[in-house]
Amino acid sequence: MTSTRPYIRSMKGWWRRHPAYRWYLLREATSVVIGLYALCLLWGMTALLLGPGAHDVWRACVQSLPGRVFQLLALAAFAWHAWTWLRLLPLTLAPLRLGRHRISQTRVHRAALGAWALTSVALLVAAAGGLR
Amino acid sequence: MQTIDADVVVIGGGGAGLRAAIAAAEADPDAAVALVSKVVPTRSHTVAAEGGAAGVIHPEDHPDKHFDDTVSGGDWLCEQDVVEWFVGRCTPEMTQMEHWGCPWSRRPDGEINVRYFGGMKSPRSWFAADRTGFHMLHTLFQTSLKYPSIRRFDECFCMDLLVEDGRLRGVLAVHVPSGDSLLLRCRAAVLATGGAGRVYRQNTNAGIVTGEGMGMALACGTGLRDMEFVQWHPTTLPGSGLLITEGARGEGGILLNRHGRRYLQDHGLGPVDPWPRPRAMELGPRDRVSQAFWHEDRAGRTVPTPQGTAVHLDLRHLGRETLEERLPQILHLARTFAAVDPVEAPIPVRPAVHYTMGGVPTDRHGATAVEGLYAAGECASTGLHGANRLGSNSLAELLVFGRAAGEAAVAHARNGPAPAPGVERQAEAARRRWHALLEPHHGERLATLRDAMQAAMEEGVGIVREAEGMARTCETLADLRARYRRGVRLDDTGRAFNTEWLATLELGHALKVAQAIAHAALARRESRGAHLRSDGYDRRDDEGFLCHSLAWDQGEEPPRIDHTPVTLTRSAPGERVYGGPA
Amino acid sequence: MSDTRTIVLECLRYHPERDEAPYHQRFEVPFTPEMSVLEGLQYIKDHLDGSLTFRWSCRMAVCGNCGCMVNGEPVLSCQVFLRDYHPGCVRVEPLDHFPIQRDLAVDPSDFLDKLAQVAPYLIPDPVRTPEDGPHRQTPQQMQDYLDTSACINCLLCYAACPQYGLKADFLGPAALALAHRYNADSRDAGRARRMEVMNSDAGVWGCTLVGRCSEVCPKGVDPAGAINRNKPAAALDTLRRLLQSGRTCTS
Ligand SMILES: Cc1cc2nc3c(=O)[nH]c(=O)nc-3n(C[C@H](O)[C@H](O)[C@H](O)COP(=O)(O)OP(=O)(O)OC[C@H]3O[C@@H](n4cnc5c(N)ncnc54)[C@H](O)[C@@H]3O)c2cc1C
Ligand code: SF4
Ligand code: FES
Repeated sequence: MTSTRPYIRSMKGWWRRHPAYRWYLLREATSVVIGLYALCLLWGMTALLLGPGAHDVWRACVQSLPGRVFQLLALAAFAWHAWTWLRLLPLTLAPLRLGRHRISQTRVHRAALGAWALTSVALLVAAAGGLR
Repeated sequence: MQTIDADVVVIGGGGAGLRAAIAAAEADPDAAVALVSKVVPTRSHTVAAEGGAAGVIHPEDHPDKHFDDTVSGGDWLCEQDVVEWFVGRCTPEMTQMEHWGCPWSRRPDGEINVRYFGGMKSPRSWFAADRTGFHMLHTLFQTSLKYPSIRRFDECFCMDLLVEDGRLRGVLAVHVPSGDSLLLRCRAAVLATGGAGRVYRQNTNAGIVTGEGMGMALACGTGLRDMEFVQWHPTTLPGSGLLITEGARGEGGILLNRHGRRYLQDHGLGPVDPWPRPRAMELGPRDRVSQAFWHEDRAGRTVPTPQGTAVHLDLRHLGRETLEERLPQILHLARTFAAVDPVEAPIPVRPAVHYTMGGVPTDRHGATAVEGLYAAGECASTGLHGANRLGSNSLAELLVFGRAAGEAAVAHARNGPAPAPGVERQAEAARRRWHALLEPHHGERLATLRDAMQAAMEEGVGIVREAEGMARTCETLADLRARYRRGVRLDDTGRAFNTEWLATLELGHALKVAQAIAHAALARRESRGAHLRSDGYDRRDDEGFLCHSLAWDQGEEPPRIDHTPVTLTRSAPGERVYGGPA
Repeated sequence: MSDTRTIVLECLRYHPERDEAPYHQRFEVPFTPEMSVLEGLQYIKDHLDGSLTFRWSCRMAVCGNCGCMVNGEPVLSCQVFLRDYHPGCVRVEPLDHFPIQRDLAVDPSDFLDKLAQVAPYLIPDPVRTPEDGPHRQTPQQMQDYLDTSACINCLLCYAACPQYGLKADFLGPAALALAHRYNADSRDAGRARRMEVMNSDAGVWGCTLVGRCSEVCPKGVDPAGAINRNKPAAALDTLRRLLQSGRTCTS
C-alpha cells in the first residue's frame, strides 16, 4: 500500500501554538536563572575562602543595583519554579487515599505549597538567628 | 492490485472478529491470519456496548435458566440446540476474558459481580461498570497484539467476497487512505461485520453499522434469515438515539409517563410490587417495553420534547454515589448530550433501533451455505436470538461464536482444497464494477437516497406494523434501488480516502438489506417477539409461523422470501409470562 | 426549527492526489442548540461538499475516532457543541503532530505500532486456564489501574504533546499510560518486560512534564501521571543495572 502522500506539518514555532506551551518554556527557563544563582553563591563561597578582600568585592557586586535586580529575578524564578513543580508533584506520586476516597490533585498541590512555605519561613528564621 | 495470501481472512475487527482471529491464531500458530477492518479495530461498534455480557456464575443461577430465558425471550424462534450449546460456553469465555485482563466489576470480596438485565430469572450479566463493550473490545484488541500470526489490515474496506461454484476463494478490499485495491486470496474467511441498524434513522448504532457485510453475503448466495426481527431499545435519547443502558434499570431505574405513573404495569408487566423482581416491570424484555411505549404514545401519555415524544427514566433514588460508581458513562452521556443530570432529574428516553436479530444463517460453528465462508457476531444468524434478543446475550455471542468460527475456519483452511487459480480475474472484474460508482456526474445526492431509505423504514417497518405500511415501504425501497442504479452523483471522484464513494457502496448493500427486512416482515402474518402487527395478526401463530424466514437475493428484483423450520429440543412453545406475582 | 442559527466552519483541506500544501475552506452551516461540531461536519458532507473527509463512528465519545483540533484545542468533535462557539467561527483542523492523510484525517499508525511495543496485555504468572476460574481482585485493587484502562486511543494527548511532535521515537502519553495500566494490575507479572521499553529516551524519559496531555484527555486517564509515576522505578532499574554490570566487571 504505497500511493499515499501524507502531509507532514513542521514544528517550527510550536511554542506559539498554545499559551500552555509558553508557560512550560518559562518554567524550564527558570532553571537557567536558578543555575546562575547557584553559580553566584558558589562564587561567594570561594571568595570567602580566598580572603576578606575577595569577599568584599563579591558583596559589593551582589549589593549593587544590577546585583539586586538579579536577586529579585532569582526569587521570582524560584517562586514560579516551586509553584509549577509542586503543581506537577501529584503526577509523580501514586494516587493518595484517605479510606475509600482519593485525595484530589489540588489538595496535594495545596499541601505541598503549605509545606514549602513553612520550610522557607523556618529557614529564614534560622538564617536570621544565625546572622544575629 | 496488490495480492496477499492468507489462510484465514477475518472481516471485521469488532468483538466477534477479534475473538475469531485470536482463536484461529491459537488453534494453529502457523496459519496466516489477516484481520481486515474498515476502521481501526478499537473504533468498532462493540466499543459502545454498555451494559453487560451473559454468563452463569451466580449461585442461584443455572445454565437451564439461561436456556429458558433465552428461548422464551426469543418467543420460541430460537434454534434450541444452538442455545444449549451456547449457554454452556459463556462462562468459560467470560473467564478467559478475565484472564486476558478485562476489568469485570467485582464484589467487595474480589469475586465477579453480576447484575440483572431484562428478561432474566437470575442476575447473569458480567459487567465492567457501564463500559462493558469498551473494555471487552480493548482487552481483545490489546491481547491480539500478542499473536505474531495475526496481520492487521486496518482501514481496509471489504468490497466483495469472491465466490465461485459455492466456494470462497478470496476477499476484495480497498485500502481506504490510499484507495489502492487489495486482493486477499484465502481458503476461509470469517465475516464479522456487525449489524445493519443504520438502515433506520433513529438508532443507537455507530456510523459504521451499515450492513454491507450482510449485503455481500446475500449477494453471494448465503441468504439472510429472520431479518424482520429488529430490536428497538426502549431507552435512548430522543433525537440522537444514544443509548441509556438497560443496566440503568437493572440497577433500579424506573420508567414514568407524563402523569408520573409507572405505566409498564398497564401493559402486562405489572404489578409494581414487590420491586425489584426479575422479568417484571422495568426488567421486562425489550420488545414488550418498547411496545408499551408505542401504546402510551398513541394514548397521548408521553412527554413532548423538541426531539419528539419521550417518557422519563428516573434514577434519582439511586443516589449520587451509586450512580457514579455503577453508571458513570450514563451520567456523562446524559449530562453532555441531553443536558440532564440524572442525579437531579429524570432522563427523557424513547425507543430506537438497536440490534438486528437476523443475519447470515450459520450453524453453531459459524459455517454458512458458502463453503469456506463463516460468519459470527451481529451479522450472523446462528438462531440464538430468535424473535427477540435478550440483553447481554450479544456480547456473549461474540465470544462464543467468534471463537467457534475462528477455529472452524482455520481447520477448514488447513484441510480444505488448494486455492483455485483465476481468482485474480474475478477480483479485477469486481474492482471495475465498484470503481464504476465513481463515474457518474449526474444523479441524486447520496444523502437524499439514504435519508429516504431511513424514513421509509421508520414509517413502514417500525415497532408496530401493518400490511399496507409495509407494502408501501417495499415499493419505496424498490424505487430507491432503481434510482440508485441510475447513478449517485459524487462530489468526490479521487481515490485516496474517498469516504463518499465508500458510503455509496454501503448504501447499495444497505438498500438490499432493508428490502430483506421489509419483505420478510410483510410475509410474516403473525406477531412474535419484536415483530408486532396491528392489522389482525396481533397474535402468535405457531401453526403457520413457527418458522424462520429466509430472504434470497434476486439480483435487481426484490428478494424472495422462504420459510424453514425451527429446531426445538426441550422447550415447547408456551406463553411468554412476564410480570405477575413474584 | 425556530432556534436555527448559522455558524462558519473553517476546515483544513488537503488532498494528497492534488494539493501541494493544505489550505482552509469556509462553510456556512445552519445549526440547532444540540448540534455537535461533528454534526456540523456531517451537514457539510451531506449538503455542501461530499468530498470533505473526516473520521467518526460512535458519536458518543467512546470510539475515539473523531478527534480533531477545534480552534487550536484537541477535542472529540462529537462532544463539543456548535452553540458554544457561536457567534465566532469554528476552525477545524486535523490533530497536531500527525501526518495528514486527507483533510481532517491523520495517520494513526505510528501510535498503533508504539502501542504494540509496550506489551499492552496481561502477562500472568502462573498462567491460568478457564477451569481455574477468575482471579480474585478487590475493587480497591482495581482502582490502581481502572483510570488508565479507560483510554479510548483518541490521540488527543499526542496532539497536545510537543515532545511527541519534536521527537519522533517518543512512545507518547497513551502508549505509556497503557503500559502503566498493565503494570499496575494485580494480576500481571510483566513489569520487567515492559521496563526495557519504558526505561529509555523513547520511554518515560522522553517526557519533560509539559502536562497538557492530562488536561486534554477526555477520559480522565492522566497519562502524565502514569508516565511520571514510573520514573522512580525506571531510575531504580538503571541503578540496578549499573550495579549488576559493575559486579560482572569486577568478578
Ligand atoms: C449502544 C449499544 C449498546 C449495546 N450494549 C450491549 C450490551 O450491554 N450487551 C450486549 O450483549 N450487547 C450489547 N449491544 C449489542 C452488541 O454490542 C453488538 O451486537 C456487538 O458489539 C456487535 O459486535 P460485532 O463484532 O458483531 O460487530 P461490530 O463491533 O459492529 O464490528 C464490526 C466490524 O466489522 C468491520 N466492518 C464492517 N463492514 C466492513 C467492511 N465492509 N469492510 C471491512 N470491515 C468491515 C468494522 O470495521 C468493525 O470492525 C449493544 C449495542 C449498542 C448499539
Ligand atoms: S490517554 Fe486520554 S487523550 Fe490520550 S488517547 Fe487515551 S483517552 Fe485519548
Ligand atoms: S464519534 Fe466516537 S468518539 Fe466521537
